[in-house]
Amino acid sequence: MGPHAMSDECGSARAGNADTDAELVARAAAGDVDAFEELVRKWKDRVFRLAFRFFRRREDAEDVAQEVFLRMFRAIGSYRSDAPFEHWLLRIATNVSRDELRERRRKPAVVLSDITGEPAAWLDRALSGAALVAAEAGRARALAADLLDSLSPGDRIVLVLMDLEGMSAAETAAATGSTRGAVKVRAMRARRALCRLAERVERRGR
Amino acid sequence: MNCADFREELRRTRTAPVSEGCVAHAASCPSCAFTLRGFILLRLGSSGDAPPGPGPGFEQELRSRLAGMARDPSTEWTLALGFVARPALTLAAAVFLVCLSLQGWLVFRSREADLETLAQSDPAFASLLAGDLGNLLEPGEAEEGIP
Repeated sequence: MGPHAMSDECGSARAGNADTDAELVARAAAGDVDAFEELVRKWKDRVFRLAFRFFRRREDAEDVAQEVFLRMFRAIGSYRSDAPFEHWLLRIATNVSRDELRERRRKPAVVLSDITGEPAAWLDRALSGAALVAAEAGRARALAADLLDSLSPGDRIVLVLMDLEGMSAAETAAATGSTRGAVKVRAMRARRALCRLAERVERRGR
Repeated sequence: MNCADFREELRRTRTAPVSEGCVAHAASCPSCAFTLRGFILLRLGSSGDAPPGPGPGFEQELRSRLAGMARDPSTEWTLALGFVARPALTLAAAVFLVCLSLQGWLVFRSREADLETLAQSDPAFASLLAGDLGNLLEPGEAEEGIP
């Protein structure tokens, strides 16, 4: 795995620990509860922060992270150590997030219809790169999160992994169970959808 | 700043605020302005204020959920079925197809046998096969030429 932003965020959880993770997984698969708990301790922040990118309420992100570790527990025997543990874990995390995002998905028109008046103007200013005062910024973030809920879950996951987590197309493919080519195409399409969504805010903000 | 610099700068500023240079370039380039708005929307809705990790009770809650899962017999069944579900479904589909083919072949064979028996035991059928209509009709009818 090449150097990318994920390295900065995971810090100690990743650096040179690939063998240790594989050993812990092997022990956990053999029924060693301590090894499983050690894996949870190492990776819970990483999984939680990724979940928080999609679900902005702390409780929701924690629920998703819990589900990720429950699924990891069930599937731990199926992990093959020829791939990095992080990819395998992120694949579970993206699957759980995708399921949850599907349930929450709203139509863009419905979300946009809620964005009117001053909030639309704040959001429009924020999207143009202008700085907002704290109260406006908080509200603009919530509106932006609502707007992102209208994107296709698959598109949103690829955008977050590549454009915010700094993962390469190959890493994103490994984390989503797709191919590098498919991820590139999806990223291009998703960025276009995102920009179109932002453009619609511009029209409402004027 | 040109468009390539703008894209590179945007790629590097995943966590830092968008630079003034990027904003200035976007103001003069509609295509980059379009990109910038999308990028800011993604960042605004997906980051900021992220706590460093889950709350202190996270591991304890996970432990109790795992314990509950282990106690629940239905979960064990689900887990056990989970391991075999796909191979079992595949096997069942294969067995079904084999049975269907076998059944079709047997029906075809038995019909063939019936035809053979019919030709041997039924004189009317035998005469039909032989092209002799005489045995199909009553003796009187045959003579009168009734069809």
